[in-house]
Amino acid sequence: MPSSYIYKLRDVEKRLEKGGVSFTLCIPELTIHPGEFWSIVGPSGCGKSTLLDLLALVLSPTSVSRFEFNVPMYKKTAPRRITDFSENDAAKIRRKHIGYILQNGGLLPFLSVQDNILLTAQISKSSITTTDYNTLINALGLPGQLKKKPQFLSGGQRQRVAIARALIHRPSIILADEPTAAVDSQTAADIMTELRSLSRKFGSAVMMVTHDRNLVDSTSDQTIEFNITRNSIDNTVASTSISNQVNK
Amino acid sequence: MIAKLAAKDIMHEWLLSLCLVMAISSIIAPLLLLFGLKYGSIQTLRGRLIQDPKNREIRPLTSKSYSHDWFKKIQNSKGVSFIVPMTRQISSTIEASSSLNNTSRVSLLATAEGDPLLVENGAKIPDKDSCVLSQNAASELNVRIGEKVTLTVRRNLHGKSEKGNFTLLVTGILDARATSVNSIFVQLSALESVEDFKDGRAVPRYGWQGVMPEAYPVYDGVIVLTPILLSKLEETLLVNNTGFTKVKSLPPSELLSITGYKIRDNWSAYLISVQKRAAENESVDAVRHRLRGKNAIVLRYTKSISAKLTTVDGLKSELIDLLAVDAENLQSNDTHLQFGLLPNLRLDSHSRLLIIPKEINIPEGKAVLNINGQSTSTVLPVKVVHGIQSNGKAYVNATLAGMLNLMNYRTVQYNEKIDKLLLSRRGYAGFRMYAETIDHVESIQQSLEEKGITVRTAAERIIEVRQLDSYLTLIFWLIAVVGIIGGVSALTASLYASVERKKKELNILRLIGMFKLEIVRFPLYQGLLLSGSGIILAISFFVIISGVINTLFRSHLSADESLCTLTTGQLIFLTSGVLLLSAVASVFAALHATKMDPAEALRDE
Repeated sequence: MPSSYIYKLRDVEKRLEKGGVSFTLCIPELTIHPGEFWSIVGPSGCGKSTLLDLLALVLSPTSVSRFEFNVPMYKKTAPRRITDFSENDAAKIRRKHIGYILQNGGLLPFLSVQDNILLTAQISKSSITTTDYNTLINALGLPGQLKKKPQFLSGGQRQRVAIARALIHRPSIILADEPTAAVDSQTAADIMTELRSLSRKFGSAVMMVTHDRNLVDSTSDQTIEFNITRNSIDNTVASTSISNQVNK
Repeated sequence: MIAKLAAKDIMHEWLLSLCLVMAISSIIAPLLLLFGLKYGSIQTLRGRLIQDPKNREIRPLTSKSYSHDWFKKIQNSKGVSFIVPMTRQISSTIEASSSLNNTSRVSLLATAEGDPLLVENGAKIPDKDSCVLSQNAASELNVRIGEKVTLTVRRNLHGKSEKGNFTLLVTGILDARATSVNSIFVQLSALESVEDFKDGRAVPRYGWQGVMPEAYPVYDGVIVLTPILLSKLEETLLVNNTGFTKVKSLPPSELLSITGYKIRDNWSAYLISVQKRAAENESVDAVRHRLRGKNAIVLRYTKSISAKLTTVDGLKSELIDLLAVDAENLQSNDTHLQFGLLPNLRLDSHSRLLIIPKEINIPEGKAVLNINGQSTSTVLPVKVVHGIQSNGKAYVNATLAGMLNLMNYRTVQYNEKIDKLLLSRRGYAGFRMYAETIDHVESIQQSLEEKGITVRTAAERIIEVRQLDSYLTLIFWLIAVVGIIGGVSALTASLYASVERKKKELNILRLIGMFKLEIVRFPLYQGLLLSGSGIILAISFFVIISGVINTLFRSHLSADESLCTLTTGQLIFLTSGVLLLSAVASVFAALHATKMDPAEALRDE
């Protein structure tokens, strides 16, 4: 196991309340290292998205004993506690170190494919190499689509553009939220393979949320599952557990 | 980058953007037209009521003598827009006739630059050879602009009836609303000529015979030179009932410096002077009478007079001080005058000769003297010779000096036609006056009546006009407020809705790491761009439509009136209001759209 890590979480809790119903997500322990491929699996409502939002720094935990994000920032390399982050700090980390893939791509309809791909690099002001760019668009089969607007692409192509956009600025981690939910299973499998191999090539860890266990069984290094306890009709607690694929 | 993204988005959805621009301009354009119409028509109405010179007129009810100074003071007092002197009412009624021999009795009224009655009723201010007629006068005489009218003045002098004529070009005819009286507006000088003629004086300008109001000399004192000292009693006699008030013994040096005279050895010199008013010839004669048989020399004296001497071509001018030389009373074989007179020069009273020191850089011969009096100035042609005086002063005959001295008390003007200095009138019997606005009328009336000048104003009408004005203003604002509220809601709603539509894109941008501040700028720029284009479209629309409206109603409006108009200031105000409102609406909508957790917001889709 590599000694450096990207995330280190211990006893992180997020409590959500909506219309008198409370849902608590507990993460007893989670450490993510560079290059790892994680899948977050579970039925809907189990807390997958909440976990992803916590990692994306768009939600802040209700209670935390340790939550560190270990990336170089402000020239400091020491791990930073998430509670120190302001909203702008979080945005800065997101633009530089996190790639995001959304269920239906999350592409901007008014930008061409190429502009969409280059957007993250532009926002984070990171310089990208032509090699990286070519590697990505060739591996994802996009060369013929670059000038098109997203509305003229198929679902699978859109997801591939989203993958390219998420990877182009070489982030430490890719957060993928059901990236294949909207495509057929064959395309889903292809996209998975491409994501897996490209993220490895670009050195990014991947946290992928899916409800389809079969899709990720063979690809993930680690899997997060949720143990759901329903304390009462309006109080649910979900606790994460990690299973190592290799050991299975 | 944000601006670029915002613009790209607008271009991407060009059809929707166009719709939004049209929607915004369709909100603003009717509002602009409404404001323009209200503002234009109410302004026109207000202008007609409030600015109508008739309502601003202040007329004296009593005939009084108003001095030049009084006019000057009133002219500069607060709220007075225009005032021009008038002669006596009785001398301003005159007979006018056209070239077709239509005749009518008209009132001659004085006018001058800035006369609101003329300016605001479509007539140019006449020059000395032209006039402006009231509508009534024009129709009675049956004359049009460009034709001529002849004015006839009659007088009874020494039991003999005489008449004088002069002809003026009609350069303007007033709108009917200006006055219902048969009147002819002319320069003040024409009225003065008519009054002078009626009073039996000559008017050289029109070739009318009569008495000339020639300037007469006045003196500040006399210099008395005696071979013996005067006793105290003799000194007292000189100021007793002579018109002079003060006797002062002059040492030779002082005499030299104030007059340039050099006294004979053993003689004594005295300055017999006045205190406030100037002395005339009879005072000088009185002193001379008192000193009869004493072998004394009595010389008329004025303080040195400052003047500007200019060459005839006007190229060179010098400031000089004039001293009076009483050449008639100086004994010619005596050297009473210090180095001044050349033996063959006669400085007599009619020669208008000026002896200037050689150092003053004006060549001998004809020159022009420019003198400033108490209230006016005049130019006088003179003849210059160079003298040998060393005191730097110029010498003129005492009589001429006395006439110039009169300028400190009266208005004296040189008349070229008869080559004489003439007295101008002391004052005027009346005036025509207009206040700046109807609001100034009351205070002017008050201050005049405090000074005992009863005047008539349109006070009652002003109260009515003011009331109407306040109702009109109220109506305008009611309509404006309703319009603005409607416009604000419509604009806010359109922009708010358009930002709501962008919610997804905004949250994607947030998720991939844009700062909130940047995110908010995205719809802000779009809002400004869209409403900016909307405003431009609306203003173009407004300009076209208001042009059409004003053209349609042109015949009912005077040149500077428009039925539908907005000032640049109002347009700028409206534009910035709309832009500000768009900015607020967009930012508010953007903040609302990005309030939720971005990932959550996207999953909600």
